[in-house]
Amino acid sequence: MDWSLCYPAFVVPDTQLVTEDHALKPLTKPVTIADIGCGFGGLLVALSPLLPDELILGLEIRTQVTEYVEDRISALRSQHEISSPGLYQNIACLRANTMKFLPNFFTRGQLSHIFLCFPDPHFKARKHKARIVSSTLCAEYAYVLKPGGCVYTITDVEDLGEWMRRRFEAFGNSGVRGEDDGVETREGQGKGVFEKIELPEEGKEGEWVVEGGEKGQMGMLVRCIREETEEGKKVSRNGGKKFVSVYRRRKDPAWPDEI
Amino acid sequence: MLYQYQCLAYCQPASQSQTGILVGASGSFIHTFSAQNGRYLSTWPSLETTAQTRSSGQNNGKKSEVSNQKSSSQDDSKRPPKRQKLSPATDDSGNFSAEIAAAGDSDNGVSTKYQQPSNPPIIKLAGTSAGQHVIAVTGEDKCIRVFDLAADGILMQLSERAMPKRPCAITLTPDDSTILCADKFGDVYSLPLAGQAYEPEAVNGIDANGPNSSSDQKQKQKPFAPSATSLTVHTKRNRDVLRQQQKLNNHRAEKKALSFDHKLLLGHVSLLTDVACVTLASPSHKPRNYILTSDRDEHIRISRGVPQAHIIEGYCLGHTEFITKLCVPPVYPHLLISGGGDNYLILWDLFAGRMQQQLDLKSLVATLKNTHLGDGNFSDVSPEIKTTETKVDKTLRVCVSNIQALETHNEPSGHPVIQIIVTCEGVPALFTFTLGVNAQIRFNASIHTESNVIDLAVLRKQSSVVYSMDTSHQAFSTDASADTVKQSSRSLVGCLSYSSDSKTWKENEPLQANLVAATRQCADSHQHDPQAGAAEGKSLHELLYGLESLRKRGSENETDV
Repeated sequence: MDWSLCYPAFVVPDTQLVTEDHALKPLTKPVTIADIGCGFGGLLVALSPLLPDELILGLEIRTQVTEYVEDRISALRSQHEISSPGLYQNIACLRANTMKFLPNFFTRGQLSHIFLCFPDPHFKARKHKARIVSSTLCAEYAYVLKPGGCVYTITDVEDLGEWMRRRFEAFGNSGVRGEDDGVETREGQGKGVFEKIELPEEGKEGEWVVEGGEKGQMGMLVRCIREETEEGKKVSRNGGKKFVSVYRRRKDPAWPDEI
Repeated sequence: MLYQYQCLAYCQPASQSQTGILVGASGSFIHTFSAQNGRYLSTWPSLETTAQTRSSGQNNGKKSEVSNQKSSSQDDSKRPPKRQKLSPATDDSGNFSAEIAAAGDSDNGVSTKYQQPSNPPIIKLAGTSAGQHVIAVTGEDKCIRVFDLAADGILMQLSERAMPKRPCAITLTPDDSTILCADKFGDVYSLPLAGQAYEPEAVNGIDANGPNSSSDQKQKQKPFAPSATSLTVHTKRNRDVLRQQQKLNNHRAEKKALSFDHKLLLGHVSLLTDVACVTLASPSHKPRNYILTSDRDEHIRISRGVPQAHIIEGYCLGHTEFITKLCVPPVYPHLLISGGGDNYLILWDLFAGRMQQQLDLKSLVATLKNTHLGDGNFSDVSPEIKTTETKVDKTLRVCVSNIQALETHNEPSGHPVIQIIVTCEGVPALFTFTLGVNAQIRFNASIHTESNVIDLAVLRKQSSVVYSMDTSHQAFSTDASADTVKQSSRSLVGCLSYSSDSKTWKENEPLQANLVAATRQCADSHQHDPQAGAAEGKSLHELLYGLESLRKRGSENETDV
């Protein structure tokens, strides 16, 4: 995986002169934010100036859409080359089937934020396995997220939001569950891997942002996914509802031999 | 006709006095042989039944009795009535079923039931480490059968469980209590070894089906409401689905819950190809269990053992094609050897999660193929000399079918040495390697065999391996049939022993001779049996050489990392 092509501004300076094709040029920092199913890149573009110190990667399965986002990013970079050279250097987009290849991109605990914005709802029950959130995929999200890292989900399909909530809350709570099992978590059933965070109402994220710190950042990111994604804008135009949830990854439990 | 042993397994009873038993699956039959002298022991389903069915061609009355027996045994074991994708009858068996159908008319249709072959072919066999149970997987009906293996080799079926998806690999936890089943859907389930089907009424109360399965049912019964409104922004396809759902309203087929104890442990979004359990030392000096899973998309995942299997500890990334086989050698459980559809055998260090060594297999296969004179004969040039000279055929594709490890002797330093035996699909040879304390694999020799090797079992006690061979195809070919005269003269099995003195593998002549005779006798006894002939042509090819089909074709390839 050659990251230097994605983030040329973040390549370790000493290796920039290396011309050998196969020498992988290391980056000064790893990618910490992933937008899975980034679509046309609205969120990436919005996040870039808000989180200038983080490397943000968009992953998209449609080849043509990926090409569009790549072009969009390189256009933005050259537009701002003179006025603000650092801008949009920290975002990139790759074509990938993340359901299969997520661990090929990120190592254990590498990410601090994962965005799953307006995923395909796959209404047919037979197609539920194709949903981006499933009991078994939660294991992979937990693997690439660092403890304390968060998964942000937004959808305009209430049932899908519920589905994702049940998957995240039940994950690790009582083992992994089958897709069609009625996964309902009960109080006092023990801690799962993910913890749902109570969010401010739509339009009140500002209160969190004012508070600053981790909460402020979360408020800002929640506002971003509500307002900056292409799908989010479309839903607003249509007057639809948006369902946002954030799940924080807990530390892995101790091994049975450590308890 | 299928007489080949597509699966072999070895069961070594815990007590030293008892001899091990070699278990082989030929079509839908399981034969057992003594691992000490190669003597034939028993067959499942019992030969008596099959003998009866054979004579029943002349005796209708007797046959109906047999088929009644069969149907009642089916009822007992609560087998689901639906059978998926059973092999279509081929020429030979076609004749037979016509005969049966004719006989069935005079039998008031009793034998129509019998027209189905009693079991589809077995695709996986495993023995418990205590050697008292055998687990067999049949592909077409997705069944996992557990047998009690008596000291005299007689198999008694204890349970039969149909999985939701076709199992691809099974293994047992180190304590033998739980079966791990990896399936085509990418999921790994755990099942208690001695599990029995529950009464259907009891299903709701079972923990494994979720403490809230009753509330789940309520959910299903509530009237259908579309999960999105017209305000929902989505693709045309999704909107079409919604429209269809609205038309259909409440007509939703309820999914049948599995009627036995099972748990979903983990899942890949890819076809699983192998699963293994490994126990490693921990900083607290208590053992820790891990589950290793490999898939069609080049991943080997390391997860924690039950009950924390949802936690991923790491990945072994480095294969460039589908993986077919994982092998954790004895004595060095922190090492893993994996192979698949790329040209390499890879040795991993599980502690470090790092690739330790990559061994080229393609050149070994190519070398051997170049010395092949046809009909399983080889020129006498030692492969070591030829390695450097031979050109490697670009179109040659190598697919590892099995990797087995056997602890043999100690190095002068006292450290144990592991012998590794690797087989490739459609290759008439065993490739042997040694693994020493320096965690390096060294190539030993290519041992060519009469016909393509299908499966391999290690007889620990005798420092031997038994391998089964494909007599119906030509050596190095997975589709060209061998001529029929030669087919019957070729051996179905072979046996090698490791000599610690000469440090080489040699034919274990007495055992091999007995096994060859015993397997031939079994084949002869099934000669007129329609079930044995059920797999032929395409289905036989699938059964013996199914791994190569895992290779992705052009557009399917999504590896861009």
